[in-house]
Amino acid sequence: MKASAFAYHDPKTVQELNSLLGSLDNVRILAGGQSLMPMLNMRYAFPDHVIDINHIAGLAEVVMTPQGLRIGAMTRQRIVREHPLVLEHAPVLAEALHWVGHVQTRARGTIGGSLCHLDPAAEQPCIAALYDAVLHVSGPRGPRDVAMRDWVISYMTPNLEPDEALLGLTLPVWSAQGQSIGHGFHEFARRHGDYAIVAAAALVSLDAGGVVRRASIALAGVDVKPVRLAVAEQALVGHVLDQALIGTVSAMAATIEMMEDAHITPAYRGRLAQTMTKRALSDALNRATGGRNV
Amino acid sequence: MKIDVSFSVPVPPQQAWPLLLDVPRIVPCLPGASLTADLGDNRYKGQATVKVGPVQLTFAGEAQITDIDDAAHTARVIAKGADAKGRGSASATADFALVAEGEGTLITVVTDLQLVGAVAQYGRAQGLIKEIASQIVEQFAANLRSDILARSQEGVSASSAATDRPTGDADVASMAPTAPVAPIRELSAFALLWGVIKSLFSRKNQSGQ
Repeated sequence: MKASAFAYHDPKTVQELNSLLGSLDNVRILAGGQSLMPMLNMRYAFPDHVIDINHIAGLAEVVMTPQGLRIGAMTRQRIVREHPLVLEHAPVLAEALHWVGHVQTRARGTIGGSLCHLDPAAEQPCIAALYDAVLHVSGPRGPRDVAMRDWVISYMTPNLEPDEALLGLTLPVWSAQGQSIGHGFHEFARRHGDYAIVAAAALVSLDAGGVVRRASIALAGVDVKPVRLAVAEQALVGHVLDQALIGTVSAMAATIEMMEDAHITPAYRGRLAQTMTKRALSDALNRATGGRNV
Repeated sequence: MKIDVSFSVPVPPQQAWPLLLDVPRIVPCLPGASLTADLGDNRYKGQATVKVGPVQLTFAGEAQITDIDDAAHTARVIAKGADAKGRGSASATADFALVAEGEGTLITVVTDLQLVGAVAQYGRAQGLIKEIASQIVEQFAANLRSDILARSQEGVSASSAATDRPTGDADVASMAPTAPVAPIRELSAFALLWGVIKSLFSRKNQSGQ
């Protein structure tokens, strides 16, 4: 099937983009197109206008700033996955990207696109939630920052006015003197590259005695937005991280309210959440302790 | 598909009843809806636009109020609309009932919704449709409450407040706290909207459960 008719726009600057967004109705922005084009071609979505932002310069930079790792919205997922700054400061993002689509889609797909498309099971919004990322929005009323916890308004709907666009995000990366940071990411899908049913991301920072000083656990696929397991995080802080604690804390993942769809029962989702959390935390423990704890 | 929603207004049933039957007045309170013609005999032509994520649907059609029981405060609305792009149609039969709730009124609506044609593909996400319906109804109730408040406070000058009511699309995104709304609605609507957004993530509040 082919897409139904639409008008194509090709702005060269962010100002042009904002002014187009403000003046047109029933619009979708085309970034990498790896989610949008299948929806258009299947006629699941049928916007009247498609705004191609691939020709706007300056939206694909990756830099360290005092606030954290800043990644432009148009940065291709493949670039993010291989970027030295990401591998050094936020390796869990690179690990999550292994699960995003396939190598061909990652060559075109963008991190900003995923953050605006907001599939409930998407990996990149999950990592943004893991880090409490800050999203940078631009519009005719000026730039504004949105905390990740305020970003998902509802199903597949980001906190964007009709005339605004996402320019990038900043991940406040973890670092602490004398502590060792470990990360993990696990996802369950029926086939590799499928949309995840449930994914779990974990970050822990351990002191010299193996005690958790800071923890972050985020789940994707259990609700319309990524969910932080705050109760589980609090249960980790102040304790030595070992497999027993991981087991106890992972069980908490099964107790949160799960969304339901035609294919997966909440109970099964809960079991998956528990298992993925356990694997992610185990990897985080291994990485934080240099593989000494297996 | 069955959708159960309910909402409250701060006036007693004898006052709320004629208000709800005053279709030209309350349609602007419904996000994304507009009246195009009053055909008389409780029949109206109108349009409704709903936007969720990447999908935006516009239905144009007719609604008729029937089975009006002024004593029991119940009525039925039968609505049919075709998608503007020829992708199908939607039809709904909604049964309204008003009961006194303290000093106000609780309005319950039981709707039977059918989607036909290409738009029926969205009907598979029943849980989602029910939540969106709840959100729209909450927004409608909030607008209606503000309108009741405005009219009772401002008397004659309330007619100007009625004209700048937001009549844009029922864009779920515009229900964010930062969406621009008329000043008198901003304070009460902000609190109501935030409650709506939070309740979206609380399955316990899902209508009918």
